[in-house]
Parts: sequence; C-alpha cells; structure tokens
Amino acid sequence: MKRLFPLMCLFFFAGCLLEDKALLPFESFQPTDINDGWEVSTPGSENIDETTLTQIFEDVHADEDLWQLRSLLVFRNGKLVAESYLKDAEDQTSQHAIWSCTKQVLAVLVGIALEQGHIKSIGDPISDYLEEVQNGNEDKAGITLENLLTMRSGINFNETDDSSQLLQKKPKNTLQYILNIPLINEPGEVFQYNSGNSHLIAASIQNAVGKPTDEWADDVLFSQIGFSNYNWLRYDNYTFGGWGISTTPRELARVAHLVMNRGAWNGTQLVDSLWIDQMISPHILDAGSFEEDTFTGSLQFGYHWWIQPELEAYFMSGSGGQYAVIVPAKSLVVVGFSEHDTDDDLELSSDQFLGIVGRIEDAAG
Amino acid sequence: MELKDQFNHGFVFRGPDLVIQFGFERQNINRIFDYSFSLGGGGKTTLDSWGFRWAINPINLSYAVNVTPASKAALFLGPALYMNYSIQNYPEMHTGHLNWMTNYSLALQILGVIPVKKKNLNIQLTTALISLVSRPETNRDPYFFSTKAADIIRNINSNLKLASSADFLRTNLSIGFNLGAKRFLAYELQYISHSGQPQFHQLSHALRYVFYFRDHGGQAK
Repeated sequence: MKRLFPLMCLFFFAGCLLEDKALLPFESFQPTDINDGWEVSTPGSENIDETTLTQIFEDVHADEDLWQLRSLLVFRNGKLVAESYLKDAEDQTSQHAIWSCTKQVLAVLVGIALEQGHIKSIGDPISDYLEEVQNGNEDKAGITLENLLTMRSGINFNETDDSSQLLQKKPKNTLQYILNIPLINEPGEVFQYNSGNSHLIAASIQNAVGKPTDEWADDVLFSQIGFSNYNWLRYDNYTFGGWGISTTPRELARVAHLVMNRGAWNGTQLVDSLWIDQMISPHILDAGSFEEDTFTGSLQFGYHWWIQPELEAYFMSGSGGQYAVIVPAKSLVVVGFSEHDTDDDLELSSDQFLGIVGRIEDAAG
Repeated sequence: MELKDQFNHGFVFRGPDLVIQFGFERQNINRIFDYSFSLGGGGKTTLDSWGFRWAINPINLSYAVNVTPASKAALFLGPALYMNYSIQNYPEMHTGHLNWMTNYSLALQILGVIPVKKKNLNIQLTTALISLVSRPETNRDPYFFSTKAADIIRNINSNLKLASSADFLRTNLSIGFNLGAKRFLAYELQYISHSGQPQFHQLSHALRYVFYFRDHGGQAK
C-alpha cells in the first residue's frame, strides 16, 4: 500500500482536461466582399484612425471577459470598414438568434403600418386590433399601442418566468396567455420592459394587415433593403414580437442603417422619417444606468429602442449580448453578436459592448 | 470530476460528484458475475458560474473468467455491458437547455487479482469497444428544452449513433485493496471521450468504497 500511494498521487495529478482559448487570436479586420450589397472600405478611407481601431480589435480578441463575443463589425458612412468573427468564420453568413433585437425591428414596422393606414394611431386601444380584449380581457381595454411601445402597458409579464413558459411553448394560445396576465399598474404609468408587450404589438399588426407579420414585413421592408438571410419564429400562427428573428450581423446592419438614415434606403423613403424620429426619441427618461469599469452612463427608452445619451447613440439589444449601436453624428454603426444562451453574470452586458463602441467612436474623426 | 463539453466554449467545469451504487456479485475462483446500478451527481463550476451533473447508470453488468487458474495471481477477462446517462445543466452558460452524454456500451474487462501479503491487490481496466451514444444536436433549437420528464427521457435517448472505440472512449482504471472480508477501497480513474460532434470529454478521479453485506472473501470487488 505504501509503495502504491505515490503512484496513485501521480495518477491523480497527471489527469487534467485542458481548456481551449475562447476567442480566436486577432489576425485582421479587413472586410470581405461577399456580394451581399455592402460596400467594403478601410478605416483610413472613412476617417477612422486605423492604428487605434487595430488596437481595439486586438484588445477585444485578447480580453477573456469578452469570451462570449462572436462577431464585431464596424460600418461608417454606409460602408463596412471592419469585420471580425471571433469564434467561427461561418458566423459571417450563419443565422444567429438576435433575441430582443427583434423588438427594435418590430418598432420600425409599426411606422410602416401607420403610414399605410393599417394602424390609425398609436393612441388606439389594442381592443381595436385584438378581439380577445373585447372577449374576456376587458381589463386590458385601456391599453394603447403607445403604452406597449413604451413598455408601460401595466401587464405584469415576468420577463424571466413568463418568457420561460412561452419558450417552452407551454401555452397553446400565446396571445391569450399574455392577455390573461393581470395588470399590476394602470396603463401608461410604469415602465416595465417585457416581451409580452412586444408580442401584443406584433399580433395587432398581424390582425391589421391580414397576414403574418413576418410575411408582411418581408413585403414592405425586408425585401426592400436586401434583408434576406433570416428566419422569424411564429407561436401558434402569430409572428412572435418579443424575439424570434435569427439573422447575420451584416443583415441586421441593414435595419440599423435604415434607422440611421431616418427611414431612407438607397434614396427611397421606406419608413416615415417623423416616425423614426419619434421612435428614437426618449419617452422613458430613466430606463437604467451603467456604473461599471467598462462604461458609465445612463439609459433611456424610445418606442422599443434603447437610447444612450452619453454616446449620443441609440441601439438594438438582445439577450446574451446581441447589439447594433448607431451613432448618427458620426455616421457609425457597430454590430456585435454573442453566445445567445448565456444568462446573468455570464451574459455579455450592455456596458461591456458600449465600452467598445465608445472606443470606436473616439477613433472616428 | 472535470467536464469539457463542446457547447461550453472551451471551458472546463470542475467539481465533486457523489455516487451511490448498489449491486450484487457472484464469484468463485474461476468466474465473477457482477451487476450494479448507481445514482449520483454534483455541482461543477467555471468562471464563477455553476453547472450540475446527474449520473444515472441503470445497468453495469460484467462477467469475467479466470484465464490463469493455476496461477497464484489471477487474471480475469470478460465482457461488460453499460447503460450510462450523464445529464448536465448549466443555468448561466446555457439557460434553458440540458446537455447529456448517453451511452450503451459493450466493453472489455481485464481484472488482475494479486496477493500482496495478506491482502489482494485488484487492478481492473475496463474499456468500451462498441457503443450506442446520444448527444444533443450541434445546431439545436436555441430555445428551451422541455422540462417534462417524458421529454427529458426521450431527449437523452434521441439521435442514438453507433460508435466504435475510435469515436467513443469510456475507460476505467481501478486500483484497490480489500479491507477485510466486507470492505473494499479503490482509486478509480475514468476517462470518457466523444470525438464526434458535439465533442464531450470527462475525466474523474474517484475513491470507491464498497461495503459487502456478506463476507466477500477478498478475492475481487
């Protein structure tokens, strides 16, 4: 036994599984022309300091606290100037769940529905578009589309627990499930971010236009901006408004540029510019704040769009760390996708990504 | 125990397991027949986040024959059959998902029983030769797996694929001594490797303590 003890210790300490590096080492951010309509350029040509941008990308690739990040793209003046895929080059064209960035896409569609007269006004009660409200959910009759857009419906949808129920597809009728949740506040009073509000908007659009929202969106918007590599989930035949789009970073950047250009795409006004202005204006002045080493600042909320005053930016944000940030004063769009199943402390947080955007913004002259 | 799952972005989860095993054994100088089932699990951690592993092994069946009956030291050889479910949950790294490594394996067992003074030193090596294995799909639905028991059972038995030892390796090395007629203590090293997509690796160092309800005779565990 005595002679075997050292051998047993040897076995014990000899066996260990080695961890892999979470991110690929940085090599280049030179964008590739994949014939998807994006014009590629260089930082220098678009007045971005290339040395600084290179350092930013090197730092990002080497930062173990950013292990979740899968892609980082920088656009300026409508051109792709930097593109890096930190885990798998196939992410360039592979669809990736963008989670709540779907909400920001939905808000753009509200503008088109208004312009086309499918929705008369965002001051309309949802009972005008959802007959379920008239048939058994009369307590929701006072909720307007504007309340939903500003996350002030008063419906006590728990973003963790109720989202879990929907994700597991437990309720047979998703719309009814959301409408059955009690009110906790009077409509219009309290900001409570939740995906239930967004789905009520999507369902209202769907009923108003007479076809699934994703199909209508393709007709009136996606096909017009070349947004084609995507999928949008439906729950019991309703396109889901709170999440559900899977797409690529380059595709999502199209929506971001549409918004940055106040609804215009290649010279054609696809969305009313006044709607875009309203959508990205702060309606909720205090939607949160950041006080982290990576970023310090405040958070506001428009019509389903997030606003970051210190960067003078507005952005799309999805669970796990899916972002498209627009800095209009610098004609800058920064898109980043991350591992989408992460939660709580393992999620790539907004302050982490905004910190990267802040550095890029400083590098842009 | 260390777990390295392809879904976990290169990180290794580490932590202890506690496994309880029940079984029966029939043995004589020429043959050993052993059946057991076990349940266990434990928490694992990486990046200050937790994961949990449950191990359910309904069948561990082996039969070995003494191929050196004339020798003082005995060498037993024989087949073994395993049914193993290893289910993992990582709430922060993969919210709403289960990972698993299921295997049904036919293995080769080699057991050496060497008298050392008044005890028997047992050195046992078992390695899977051919298996049916199940892993989650690589391009899986990004949304929740069902938490219903029936769905979990179906999932962990889904997409079963035939795997040789080149694709799926499950090897156990055990070194132990009897501690009297009713007790046995061994150190066990286990390595599991699924090299197909999605990859899975598991390495464990364990202390195994066996209590026999009847006198065992100290010839084998």
